[in-house]
Amino acid sequence: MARTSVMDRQLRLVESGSPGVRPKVVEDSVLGMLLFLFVEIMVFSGMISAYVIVEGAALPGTWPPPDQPRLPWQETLLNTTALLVSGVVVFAAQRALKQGREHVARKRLGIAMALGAFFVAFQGFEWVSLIGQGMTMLSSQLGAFFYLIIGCHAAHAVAALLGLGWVHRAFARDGFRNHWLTTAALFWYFVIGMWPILYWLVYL
Amino acid sequence: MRVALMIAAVALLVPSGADACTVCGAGADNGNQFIGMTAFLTLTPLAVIGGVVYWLKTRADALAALDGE
Repeated sequence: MARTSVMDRQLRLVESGSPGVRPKVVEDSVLGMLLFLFVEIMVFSGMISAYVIVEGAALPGTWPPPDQPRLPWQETLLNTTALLVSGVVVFAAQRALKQGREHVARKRLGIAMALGAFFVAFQGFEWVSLIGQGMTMLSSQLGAFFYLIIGCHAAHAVAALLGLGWVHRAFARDGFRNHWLTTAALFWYFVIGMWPILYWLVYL
Repeated sequence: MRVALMIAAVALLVPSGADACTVCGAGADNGNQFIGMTAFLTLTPLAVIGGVVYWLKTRADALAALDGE
């Protein structure tokens, strides 16, 4: 049975000329997520701003600090690719759900989650390696900013993955709503959209 | 009192001498980054809110058009 969102159903009622409830402009969960993401954008903007100003104040040749390990930008490029691909796969899952192909959507969502989990796990390994090389939150300003900003992003990635996981499980339930996936996908898109900015700023 | 007024007048004339942040004047000149980030933090919320409002209006217009048919 094809599952459609409340809005889709209401839109069909309007289109068919049948009496129906006036369609919602946006689902509550989607609007709530948008408001939440607005706050999150400002949180990251604040951290980015602080990082740029502190980096700008560094004397020539002192950023990144010479006694600190270099950030592995090449390896992280692979990680970045995995994250970006996961975004494309989530988009494909949304499209499949819109076409009523639930099992395909669920499968694609699972693939996207696996790619996201790879991203988080890879970062974990990267952190262990950097800490082993002497880069900690207290070792330098770069270390402090790195673990703060990238750590905050990783926490968001984990939270977004949990959201996608919840939706993945909810596919099996009756009364599934398409906008649940839209809501979780928005959070995931935010995580993906923020990453290239952080990668460019902090790693390169 | 006069001394305080004189200090205040000097601080107005030479504001950099009254930096509240003890480390802001240290290190390289990061004035451009500071101005850039001030603009960034000012414009980002306006752009995001503007974008969301525009998107909501587009959707509302689309639904209204459907309603009218």
